[in-house]
Amino acid sequence: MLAVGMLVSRSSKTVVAQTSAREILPLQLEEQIPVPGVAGRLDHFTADAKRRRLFVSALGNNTLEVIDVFAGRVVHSIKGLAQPQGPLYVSGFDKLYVANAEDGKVRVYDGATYTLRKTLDFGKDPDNMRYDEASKTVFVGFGEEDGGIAMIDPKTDERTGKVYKTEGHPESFQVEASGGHIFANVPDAGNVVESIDRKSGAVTKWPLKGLRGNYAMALSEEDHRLFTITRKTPMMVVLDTQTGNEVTRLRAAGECDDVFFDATRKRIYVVGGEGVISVFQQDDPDHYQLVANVPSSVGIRTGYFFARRDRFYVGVPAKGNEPAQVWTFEAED
Amino acid sequence: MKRFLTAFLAIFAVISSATLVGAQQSAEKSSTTKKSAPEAKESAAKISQRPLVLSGSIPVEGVKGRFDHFAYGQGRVFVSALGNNTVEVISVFGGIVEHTITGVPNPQGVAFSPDAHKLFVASAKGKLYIYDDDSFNLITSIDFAGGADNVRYDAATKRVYVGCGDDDKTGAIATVDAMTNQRLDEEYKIGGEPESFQLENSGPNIYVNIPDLKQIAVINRQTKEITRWPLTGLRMNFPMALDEADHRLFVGIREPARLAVFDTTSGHLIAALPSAEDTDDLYYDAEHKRVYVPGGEGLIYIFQMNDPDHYRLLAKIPTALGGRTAGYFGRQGKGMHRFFLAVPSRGGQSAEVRIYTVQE
Repeated sequence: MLAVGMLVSRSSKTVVAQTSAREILPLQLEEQIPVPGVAGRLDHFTADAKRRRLFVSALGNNTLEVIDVFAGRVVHSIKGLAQPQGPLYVSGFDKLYVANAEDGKVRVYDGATYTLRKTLDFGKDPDNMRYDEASKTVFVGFGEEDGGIAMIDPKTDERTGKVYKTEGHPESFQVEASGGHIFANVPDAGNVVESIDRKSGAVTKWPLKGLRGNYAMALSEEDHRLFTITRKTPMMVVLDTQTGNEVTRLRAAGECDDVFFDATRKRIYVVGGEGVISVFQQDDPDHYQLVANVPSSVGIRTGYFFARRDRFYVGVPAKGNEPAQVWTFEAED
Repeated sequence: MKRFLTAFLAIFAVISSATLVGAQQSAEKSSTTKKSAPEAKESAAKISQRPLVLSGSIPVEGVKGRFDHFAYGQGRVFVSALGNNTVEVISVFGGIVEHTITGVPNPQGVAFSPDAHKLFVASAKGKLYIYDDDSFNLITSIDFAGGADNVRYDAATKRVYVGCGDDDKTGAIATVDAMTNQRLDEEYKIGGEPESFQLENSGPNIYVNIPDLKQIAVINRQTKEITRWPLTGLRMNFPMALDEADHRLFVGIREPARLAVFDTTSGHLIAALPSAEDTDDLYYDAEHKRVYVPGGEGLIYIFQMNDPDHYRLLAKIPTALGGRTAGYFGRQGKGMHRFFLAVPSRGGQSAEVRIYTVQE
């Protein structure tokens, strides 16, 4: 019993010493913005940099919440959605696209007034969307077994005829601006990353060797590196986009649904639903290390790195008497 | 005997809490002696090594009192709010309570039939309620003398098996045709109140816990014969899970708190391991060969099957006081592998259904 007592006193002393010497976390919680009246899961984000607005899909609430990040409050709520997933704001055309899982439709809104302009049908489960500035194209991941990536011309808001087939529902994907490829996570097709040649539509499958449930993805085009996050086991897998070879894999936050690459700091933020954000440092394209697992809260699995504002936002679902929130983290150097 | 047992348990509790404190301290000590980068790496590894990770929570507002059992169907989790006289319908994808079925006095077991598109809810007050799976309107109800408790759906025969009755005369496993809502002649009097029971898919047997008789009854649905396995030194056998491939039956014992493992081919007790106190649900994860035992004391005990004859405690996951019932339905759509735990309201905090993600 005495030995235990001594152990306690000694370890509490070292704790004190350690705390004062500890470096600050790479993400500092700055603000908690309430999102009142929203129940259920929050899904993905998008942003309108010019108006300093952040959009978050309230999947369980069938709304898209519009947040003025400068004022720190919700300024609008777009209603009448059907399990909204990935939203996408396209500044060049001042339009907001929202993919709805339940009714299979992508709704197009005016970027200034948020009035509905058009509804496009994608059959089943339109999910993530990306915009390619060079070709001025909106890409939509959709479908189940017959899934693929379809395209919308934002000028006319018509679907272009072509669909890149992915042999399963595509989860997160990234579009290369310079290299002409689309990289997609397709856990249904045997837990692979698919590299799709945009010209020919040819698909190369990159296996994830023993890992499953690859949902989130980020791209560093400059370094030719793709970051895909698996849930089983929770890992960040770094792939070389030129060869498809695995560069490295590191333990990451579990239950991840979003990952972002911070090009300024060369860091990767992995948002994990188990209650931490894993922050990795890229020492060079081949070497990575975990900087910290920043504590967030259980159930926070989606976020957004707003590079222009140097802020990292995460969606916090409602719990008990606490309303849903969006937390703002400041990215530290 | 009981006093001896209590004393033993008290000593056991002291020892186990002492080892826990020791483990915590050594963990603390090791983390303080290392610098930040490896420490962070270590904690990342630790986070992911837990076999169940808390990854979400769905508030179930306004629900008072105890929760009872769970069912799953078409992306929805159904949970009986026994003390609240409701059944809560939860959309897993949306993370919300989608609907609340009211007017069910003390609901206990729930079963979902994808074939009949119906939800069956057993009430302790003596009825089986049948609901449409879309509108959740009541279709009909069937009387069961002495109360209805656990229910299981048998997809092969499209029948709902109902554990009913509360004494030696009424205690039985009865059946209802899921398609026609008619109570059938197939009924097995078992001589006591049935608790959890499991249906064999590859054989004719039904295994039933009968704590009143300190027995497990094995009903052969073909020959109608009932074999009985007496329990010695183990009382209050409530929850149950079946591993058909390995011929093993897992039974949650409350006095003393044990996980008992039986060989279904012989009825022999294979193992009895110290387990969660106050348990009311128990699940077998065939993919990882693990047994999950949630206990009202605020822990989920997780056991690893090394082989069908050998088991070890893998982890104790702290939960919340009263978290004694849970739902586990294997892998669902989009590859999600989750464990749902009901946590009753306490103080100012609303009731919730916690979502744990199964790890490798």
